[in-house]
Amino acid sequence: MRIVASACDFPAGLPEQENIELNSGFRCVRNKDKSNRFIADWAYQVCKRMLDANKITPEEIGLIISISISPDNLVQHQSVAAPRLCHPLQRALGANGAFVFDLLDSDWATAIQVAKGFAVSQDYKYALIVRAEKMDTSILHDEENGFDVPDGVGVLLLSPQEASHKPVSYTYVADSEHASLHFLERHDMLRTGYKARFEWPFKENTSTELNRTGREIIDQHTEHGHYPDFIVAESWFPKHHESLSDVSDKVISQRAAQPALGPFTIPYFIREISRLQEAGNSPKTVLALSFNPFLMRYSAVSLSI
Amino acid sequence: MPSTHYPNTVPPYSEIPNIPKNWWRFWGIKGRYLIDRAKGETAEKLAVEACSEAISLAGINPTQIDAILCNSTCLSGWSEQESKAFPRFANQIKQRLGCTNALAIDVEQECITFLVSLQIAHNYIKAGIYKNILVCSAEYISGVLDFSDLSSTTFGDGTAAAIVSATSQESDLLSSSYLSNADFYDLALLKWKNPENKSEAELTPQDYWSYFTLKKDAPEEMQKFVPTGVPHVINQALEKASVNSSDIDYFVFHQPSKILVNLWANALGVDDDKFMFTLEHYGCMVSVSMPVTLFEAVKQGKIKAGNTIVIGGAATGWGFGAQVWKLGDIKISMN
Repeated sequence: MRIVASACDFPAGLPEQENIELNSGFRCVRNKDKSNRFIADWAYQVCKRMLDANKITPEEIGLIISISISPDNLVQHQSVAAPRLCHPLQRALGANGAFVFDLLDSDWATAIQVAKGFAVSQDYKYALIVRAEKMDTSILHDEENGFDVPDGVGVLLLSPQEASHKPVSYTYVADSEHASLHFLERHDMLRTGYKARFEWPFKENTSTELNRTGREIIDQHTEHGHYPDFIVAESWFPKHHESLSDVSDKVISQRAAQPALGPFTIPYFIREISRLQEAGNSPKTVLALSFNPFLMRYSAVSLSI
Repeated sequence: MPSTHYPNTVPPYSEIPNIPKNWWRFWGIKGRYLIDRAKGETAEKLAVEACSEAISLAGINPTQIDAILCNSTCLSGWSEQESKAFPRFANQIKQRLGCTNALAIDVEQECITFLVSLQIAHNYIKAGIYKNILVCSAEYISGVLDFSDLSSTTFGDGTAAAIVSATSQESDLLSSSYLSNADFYDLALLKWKNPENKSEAELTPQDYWSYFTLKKDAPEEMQKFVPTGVPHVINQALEKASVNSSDIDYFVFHQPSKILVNLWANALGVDDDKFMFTLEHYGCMVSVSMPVTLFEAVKQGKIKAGNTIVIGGAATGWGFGAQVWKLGDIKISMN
């Protein structure tokens, strides 16, 4: 699968965070989108800029998949919950030849695999995968440890016409509690305006197990010395993957101190890699590790950019 | 199906205010099943039963399932734990059935999700990645219906499951075609709000929820594109498979209303004995309508092994999908 372009946007540049280590996890205070814009409008602006910059017209897009989870704020009014993001995004873009659907509880690697299968079967030229979240006014963070997901937009534009593509590999993190999202009681929704709350009961060894599993996946994918040019691993909280930088100097997402971008890590760093190769270098290979905290599942996919 | 069938003549349907004359005849719905959470019924529970039976009929065990493609259109209320949103349905089915080797994926495209999931399953099998894939749709649509409003009248709850497997038989998904048209996105939305026709004095905090809403002019507006949208993608799929409508043994349509299904059949030149209605008894079960119509057609002997069939329908948002299948042997539950 070839990544043609990638784009990201965050409420005010990169999210800032204040990390306070607690006994049971980490408090992550992140920038939230305080504007009145709706998710579809925000995603449209990011996609449009990316398409224009790459001289690709919306009519060339055959497929749009959204992996967003925000329960409201989709378009026109805060109350709109469904049909979900990809429909109003299709309309705003004018991608009139596209088919669109959502993958819920998913990740970038799985969405890439699904997009490839669909695009090949339907002979689509380009597939757009988008994750756009605006949850500041609708989802509360974990009450105990502050686990949260940043607001932002991440987009990948894919071309499926790559001959070989190794299937996504999945690895589950053993014996660890998973994150969850629960709706509030209805009277609490009315009282607070929020719809739901994140929960992730970190155990003492959660970070250790996650990082150990991440290292093992990278080892498996590089055991015969076949290193990709870059490795990007999603980081969902401050200590997630901080130990990966000594696994390989290819791990670009852990090179410098930066906030945990969670579900936007992959499009953000693919955009950074694209900028590195803007001088017209040959396509770069990337091993991307996406992580689903609800399923405690890593998905690893090899990509060319 | 849930245990209780609700004809139009009993509450909550008999109590819906201002039902126009000929309303029921227009939609062609005489009744539907509704999940009763107070009785312990949930979409999850029904789905586990349906999936279990499908796995058993396929002659495999849960550990041989490589992937689970699931959907329940409502964000909440599908699980036995009412507040649960994530992890979602596919993972819950995986855990409940002991499908320890299965990848869990939740797909959503409203009424045509089962078709989308079948396509994804086919793609995985065709690419040689997986062999046995469980596809399940389960709808608790009554959980988002505002029974003070006409928009609640056409729907029903239910669940359906299928196993899609790699096979050496001459059976395959021959072709498919899909298209989305978001120009009419606003006609049918799920919105967080209070019920439509309750006075301030009647409202309680329990009334605030996400509700299915239909714009007042939706039936007229839908006539502009839904009658032609489904025949369009079906004709495209037929063309890709190099077959004509007359080569098709049976058509399985989504079941939004009797008039729409008839319009689709007429546009394609399909005779009355080559398609069926299930909406009279079940209502429109969102993503469950097409697999249940397929199930009923196989059960009644209208579809047999070796047949070439079309499955097609429309979804809010809006989306259209059609598939042409050459069928092998389909094992179904006769209960």
